[in-house]
Amino acid sequence: MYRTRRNRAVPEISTASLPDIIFMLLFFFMVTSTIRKTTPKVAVQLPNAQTIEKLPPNATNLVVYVGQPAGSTTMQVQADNALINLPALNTFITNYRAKLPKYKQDEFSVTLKIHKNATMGLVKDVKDQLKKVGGLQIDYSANKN
Amino acid sequence: MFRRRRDISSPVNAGSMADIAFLLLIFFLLTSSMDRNYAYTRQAPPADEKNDTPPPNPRNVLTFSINSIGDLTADGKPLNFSKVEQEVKDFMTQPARAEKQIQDINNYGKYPVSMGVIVIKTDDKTRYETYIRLNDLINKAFAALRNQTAQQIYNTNYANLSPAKQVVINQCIPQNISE
Repeated sequence: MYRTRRNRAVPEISTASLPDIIFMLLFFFMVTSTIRKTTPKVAVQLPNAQTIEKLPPNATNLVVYVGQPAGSTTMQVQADNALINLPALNTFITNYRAKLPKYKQDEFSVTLKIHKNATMGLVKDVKDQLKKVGGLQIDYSANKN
Repeated sequence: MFRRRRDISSPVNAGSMADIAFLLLIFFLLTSSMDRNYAYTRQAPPADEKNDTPPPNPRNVLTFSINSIGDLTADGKPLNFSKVEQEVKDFMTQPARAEKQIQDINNYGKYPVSMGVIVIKTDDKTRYETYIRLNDLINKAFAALRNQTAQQIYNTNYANLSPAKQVVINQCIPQNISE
């Protein structure tokens, strides 16, 4: 008689495993995502390519964007978080590099995120600026297809 | 005595743990970007490097140029983008094309290394997309050549090799691209 009475009562749903599920989601996102360091001020549509390789998550030290600012079709250059004049790019990179700790200066790399409709004239100007800095690792970003 | 037993087995209230985890989860969702960063990697030369090396034999140079409207030529002759891969492979491997020099490769031995250099020329008005497409096709050709060499030397695909053996293959098939 005692047993049947206990079975009829509606048991409470245990929420003890809920934190476990949420933690699993949390760890998934922590592992798969990278923290956004810069806010793009220009719209960049990357070109497509097949033979590109995935960069290690923290390999990039500086991202240089070439793209169109909102409401404009002329290409602009953005380094780190601000739009920049092209002739000032090499001093900007040199200063940026000098502020980093020594071990990061040695393996300094620049990622170029360039709009697919940009002209090679502009790309060459950006490259000339990078050449003035010298000894850089340059990553040309593209979408994998 | 009955009370003591109940104290020991009373469950910890875990309800607020879920809230804390949710907060962390939302924080990571907002601050992170899921975009994968895929890229070509190239090493820029040092700023003070003097170009003392003599110009290579014209026979060892394959010049790709893209004009302002995106048409491709290889050594002055018009070429379709679909034939770039084969052209690069032929240039690097055929005896009549780029010269080969026997070189001593660390951890391997002597290997006839192709002296071929690929030059990419573009017009100021060429679109960046076209340039990346050409680079992609050249990379594809080199990846195929390296894979082939890996098969010959180690009987396995390039991707399955250890980093040290990949360096050996990279020295056997150097990817010299000049712009």
